[in-house]
Amino acid sequence: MSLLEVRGYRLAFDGYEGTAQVLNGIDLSVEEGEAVGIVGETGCGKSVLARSLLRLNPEPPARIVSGSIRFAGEDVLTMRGAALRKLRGTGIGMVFQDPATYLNPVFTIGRQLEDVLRAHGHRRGIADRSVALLESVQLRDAGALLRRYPHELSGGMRQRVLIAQALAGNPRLLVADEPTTALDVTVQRQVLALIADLVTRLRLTLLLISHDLGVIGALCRRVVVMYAGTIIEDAPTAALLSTPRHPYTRGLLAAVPDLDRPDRLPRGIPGSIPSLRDPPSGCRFHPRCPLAMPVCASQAPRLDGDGGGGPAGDRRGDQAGCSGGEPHRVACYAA
Amino acid sequence: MTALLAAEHVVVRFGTHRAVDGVDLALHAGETLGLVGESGSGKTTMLRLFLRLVDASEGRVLFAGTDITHGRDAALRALRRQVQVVFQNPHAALDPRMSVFAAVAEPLRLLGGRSRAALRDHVAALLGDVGLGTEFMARYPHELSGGQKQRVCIARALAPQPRALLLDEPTSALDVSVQAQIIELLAALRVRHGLAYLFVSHNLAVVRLLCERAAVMQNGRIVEQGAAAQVLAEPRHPYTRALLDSVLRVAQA
Amino acid sequence: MSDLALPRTQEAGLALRRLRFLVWTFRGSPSALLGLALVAGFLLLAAFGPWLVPDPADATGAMHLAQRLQPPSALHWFGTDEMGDDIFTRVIIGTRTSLWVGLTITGIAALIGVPLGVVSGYRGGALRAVIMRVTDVFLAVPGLVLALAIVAALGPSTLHGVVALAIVWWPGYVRLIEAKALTLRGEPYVEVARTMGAGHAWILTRHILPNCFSPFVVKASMDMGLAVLAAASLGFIGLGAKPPAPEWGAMISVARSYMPDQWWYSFFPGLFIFLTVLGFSLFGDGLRDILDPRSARG
Repeated sequence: MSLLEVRGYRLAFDGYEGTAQVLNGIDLSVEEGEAVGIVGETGCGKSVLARSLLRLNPEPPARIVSGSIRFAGEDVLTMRGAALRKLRGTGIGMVFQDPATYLNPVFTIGRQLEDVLRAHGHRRGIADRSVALLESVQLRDAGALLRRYPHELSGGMRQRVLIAQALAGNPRLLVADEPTTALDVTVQRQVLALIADLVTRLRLTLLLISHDLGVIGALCRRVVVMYAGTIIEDAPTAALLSTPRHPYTRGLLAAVPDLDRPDRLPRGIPGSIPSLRDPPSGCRFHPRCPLAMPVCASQAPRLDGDGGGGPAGDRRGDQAGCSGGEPHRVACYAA
Repeated sequence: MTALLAAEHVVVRFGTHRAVDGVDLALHAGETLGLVGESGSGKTTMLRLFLRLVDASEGRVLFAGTDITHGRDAALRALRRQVQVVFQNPHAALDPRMSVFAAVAEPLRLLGGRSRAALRDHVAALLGDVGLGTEFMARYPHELSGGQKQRVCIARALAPQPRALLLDEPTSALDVSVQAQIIELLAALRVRHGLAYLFVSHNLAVVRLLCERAAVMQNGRIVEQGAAAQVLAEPRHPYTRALLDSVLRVAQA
Repeated sequence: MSDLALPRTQEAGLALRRLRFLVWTFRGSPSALLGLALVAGFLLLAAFGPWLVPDPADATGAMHLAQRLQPPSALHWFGTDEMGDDIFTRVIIGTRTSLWVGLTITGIAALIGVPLGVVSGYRGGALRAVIMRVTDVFLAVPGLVLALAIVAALGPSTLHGVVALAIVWWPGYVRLIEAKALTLRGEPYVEVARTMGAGHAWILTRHILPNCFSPFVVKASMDMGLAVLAAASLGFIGLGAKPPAPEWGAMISVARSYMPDQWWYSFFPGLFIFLTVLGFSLFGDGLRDILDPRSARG
């Protein structure tokens, strides 16, 4: 049984101009101990998906249309009250993007850690536990740090505090949503190394969300590519980077500027992200796709390797490519 | 050749903190200069200093040879026309209550002397220059994507036909596929209009692509300066080396 | 900004979309709808009142002593007062007075307060310090008490009541607009305008003021109801409109001596005051939902 199992998950947001189909049938499995990255651009739904795992999207305006999310065998979508509170922090811990806004500016670090620890049921030894947490994220002078306010810390230190908070409940799965985007590049390197170290030492399962393939490549053995609410490719990182199968993935890789290849000007993908209120029919990428075929507009392709996919006869080369025994799956008729 | 923009031994103090601590920097006509560094390096302050949005506490700032260190309003008129800015966050750089047409026309209206029809033609031409059709004129910022907003900002900056564009992390807030489009656009515009660019960024790869020269800043000082190909491939200063090492490569075939 | 006008068709399309958003927001909130209905109702009454009422002459104090102090009936929906005048007529006609009063007070207060607030927030420094201190002094005195003092000095009449209340009301606008202008001053698009060579006057009129519109409109719409209440209060004490003018507050003042037997005399003017304040408050709340992107649902 996978630690995290998302099946056919569809989520919509209801607004005054119509309903946006934000997540369009997500199928994702994460095994215990895996480090999986989710990469995508604006509007792909990666952050919404991450928040869905903890039921953090306010409903309304969010509305679960169909599908299921199971964590350690339990159905997340029907959880309420105590079970949901237990899931948040002790089952799944989440690290958010911007340490400046995700730490309360009027409380000390110590007070904020205390709040989290108490929420997980600890009554005594709070100070000691707090110090231990801060030391586990490689913050020195932990004792003195407890009395500081967030604005007195650097960006990197604040992000470490956020990570400490996420780990306070000893979760099995750590979800990190753009954990280094707001940080300088030298600090990013340190924080990523920290996360890698924690994942190994604490035997965590990691779900890392980023728009930066470099960040994902540094930490994740497997990567999932999302576009406009759909997973379009799911493969081991090395395979994805060397032989991307989906035209969007290829476009994404061609758009990344390479410091070591200054002669190669990055190429943008023509067009723009579709509106989720009125998405293209069939495959949501087809209006921008250089390999689009008539079938792409009529029926959305499923990730291959799934039971009950699209019309098998229309696919070409539909055998899931394998590299080292791990499947390289893509949702594309032209791949 | 006199530099278009020059800073001589400038110091910028905010209270007791020295954001810029003795910098000599020059941008010549038609050249592209990349200014890299991390947060707190002073690179954004340098850009704002050239725009005279902040004042130098010590040293001189010159525009085309004229001292503009302490100038106000009238003395800065030439600067205001010939040096324009593109900021990092396109979502905040456009007045939410102004249409695209109004935003791009604003610098033209400040210059004065154009009829309504001439304004509309001029704005249409500017939008075309950045790859946006005339249907965008009636739209408001909240209806545009990040990339489209940034294109509008670039069109607005080009309106007074400047000689230099100062760009403060113009692609950092954009998706990578959109970033590539904007980089392509900036490269083309530079050739078409003979512009000089001061490109402030923390993204070394983008600077390497667009800039002929590069300067690296740390704690308010320039630690290394020279040809971009040199500085960003074979750095001499340890800080530059540390920056380059931290850049995550996307290993590809 | 007429030379920045867009082609007619595009403008019409924009207006239509805004209207749809308005309708959707109001539709989703019963309280906002109620507010809208009440405000619309009062506006209609103010506009067409004189033609709708059964006894227009009663509004100016015609005497029908044979009918005095009669309870509500089919002939006189709200009963009659001590002069025999139809209370229904007087209350309806009084709507026009009340709305005019509310509008004028709010209008004058805004005309004074908004420019002071904008200048204060945008320029900062010594100017701001001076303006804010003066504002603080005005705010320190209880509004109605100050208004009372001013009217007592000028002499009781509706106009003096309006002037007095406007003087009391403007500091609130300074506070609100000053805060907004302060945040707007640092916006990137304002900085860009400076780099284009825009002067202070240009930035104030084209960037700062339009973006102060939302908080202003919300406050103004709520203030309308409160201003009507305040004017009625002055009338109640006898320092506003004088009889036989059909002003709600003045009517209640006279009706006081006929309580509790002739309850209808004070009840109906009081009800209308209540509905006016309620209507404008709910309407203002609904407007805030529309205009504030963060509180909007959608």
